Amino acid sequence: MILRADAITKRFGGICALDKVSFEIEEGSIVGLIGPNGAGKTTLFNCINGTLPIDDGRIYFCGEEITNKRSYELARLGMCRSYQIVKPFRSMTVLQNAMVGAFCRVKSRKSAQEIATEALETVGLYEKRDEKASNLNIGESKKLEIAKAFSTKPKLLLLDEVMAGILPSEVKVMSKIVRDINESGVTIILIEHIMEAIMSLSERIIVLNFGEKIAEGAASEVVRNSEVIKAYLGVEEE
Amino acid sequence: MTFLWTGLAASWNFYSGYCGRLSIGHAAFLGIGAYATALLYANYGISPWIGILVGGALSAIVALIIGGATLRLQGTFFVLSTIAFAKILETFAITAKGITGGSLGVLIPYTPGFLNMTWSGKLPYAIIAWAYMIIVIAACVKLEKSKLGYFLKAVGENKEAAENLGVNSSRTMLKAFLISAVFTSFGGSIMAMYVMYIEPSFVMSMGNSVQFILLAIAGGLGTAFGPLVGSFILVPVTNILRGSFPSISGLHGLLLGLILIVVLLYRTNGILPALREFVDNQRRRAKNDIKS
Ligand SMILES: Nc1ncnc2c1ncn2[C@@H]1O[C@H](COP(=O)(O)OP(=O)(O)OP(=O)(O)O)[C@@H](O)[C@H]1O
Ligand SMILES: [Mg+2]
Repeated sequence: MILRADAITKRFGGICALDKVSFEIEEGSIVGLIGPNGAGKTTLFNCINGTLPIDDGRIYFCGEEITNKRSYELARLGMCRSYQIVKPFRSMTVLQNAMVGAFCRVKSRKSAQEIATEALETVGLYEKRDEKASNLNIGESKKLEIAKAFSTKPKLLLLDEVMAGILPSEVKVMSKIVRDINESGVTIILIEHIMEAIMSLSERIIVLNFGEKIAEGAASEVVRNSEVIKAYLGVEEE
Repeated sequence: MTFLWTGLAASWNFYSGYCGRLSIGHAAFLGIGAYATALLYANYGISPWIGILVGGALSAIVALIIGGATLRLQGTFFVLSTIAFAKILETFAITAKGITGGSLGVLIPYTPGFLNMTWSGKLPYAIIAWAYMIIVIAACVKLEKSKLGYFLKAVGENKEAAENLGVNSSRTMLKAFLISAVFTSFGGSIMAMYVMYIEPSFVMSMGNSVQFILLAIAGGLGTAFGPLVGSFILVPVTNILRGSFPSISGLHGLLLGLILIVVLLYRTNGILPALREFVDNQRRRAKNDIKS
């Protein structure tokens, strides 16, 4: 078990964005995290990776308690995330962007370049390595998000809607990237709205709604769960 | 003097240019360097060569304290805090007459000699200023290729995204701020020995800060050679302006102000990056022409 969340609670003023959410992530797996808009998925990532402090609960990573550790410490421990709203370093080139991540593991520029190059090859951005990050289109920016995070040599990667807003033809490419990274030994939690992709990629799925975990299990089971159908369709079942 | 200004502009650029957060009060470190050297020499006869190092050490300590307190502040608040800090030091230099000679300043005794860092001709000063400039620019070149440089740029662009990749943003900023402060302090020491007389309104003034900041901004924020380009175009131009129209005082200030406005309006990062972009575009166009 690589990650364990124990009753994480996060409030923003009055609203409870996460309400006692608990789960465990098996090492080496791909786990899908789904839920309607505003369910608290991104907030859950923010809390796990130390971007936001949590109000209650505990988080363990590789057996070590990491509750409220800073995100740069977690990156060094081997946890890194991508952003739903991409955050490239615009004035730097694509390669330099990935190198920032690589410097998490190595000191010299040469080794950082090697690691970053490998990551760019994995996501298929090698050809674009000398472009300014600000010149990338949305699909490429999402790939750069993955490459930056992958360059830190993570054990656990949190991917937030890397397939949102890209061309349907690119979804397959992105799925393959996710699978390749997973096969290189990285555990992945994947937030995604595209059901097809998430169903084919993830062994298990966690469903959030209004900050509560409403279902968890194998992909095929979860989509048949009545709570989940209710949450997604917003109608009462007869 | 152009060498010295270039070195100062590059020192400032080392933190603010690469990180994109303007430390407007940087003259404070120039003042610390100038005063440390001048006072130790004038009052205790300690060689300015040692004075430079003492000034640098003092600046490092002050940078640690000030940086630790202010670097976490967001954009505008950080800029304001650096101004406040420079003002406090300037006021201290004026009021602490017993130590600093108050607004009268410090007169540096003229006894030529290598140990005293004093010469009758200008050449030795030029060599020192040149060496200073080369060292600071070399440091910037090295920064661009180092982990610290990558981290600094990343933090400047997006702190949260940088931390996610394992960058300790506070430490990164503090390190660069400290190095920048020490380099600025060295420049202040050299300036004091060249001018042979210092007073608070000169070495610690905001105008002084603004001058070398302008050179860096005009030449190219966050580029190793930007300050060089900026200084070697602007310093002679301002001198000519001052020389040809002596009756209109402040004309050079007006010019620098105009340049700053142009740079900000067009959102370029200064002369050097603009040139580079131009060359890149030309090249790309040439390539496309060949293809088609
Ligand atoms: N920093 C914040 N401050 C205040 N409220 C926030 C903050 N971040 C998120 N929220 C609120 O928390 C709730 C959950 O938001 P979150 O972004 O986690 O949803 P999500 O599941 O990622 O949705 P989406 O699918 O649209 O990305 C929303 O109501 C949102 O408005
Ligand atoms: Mg979200």
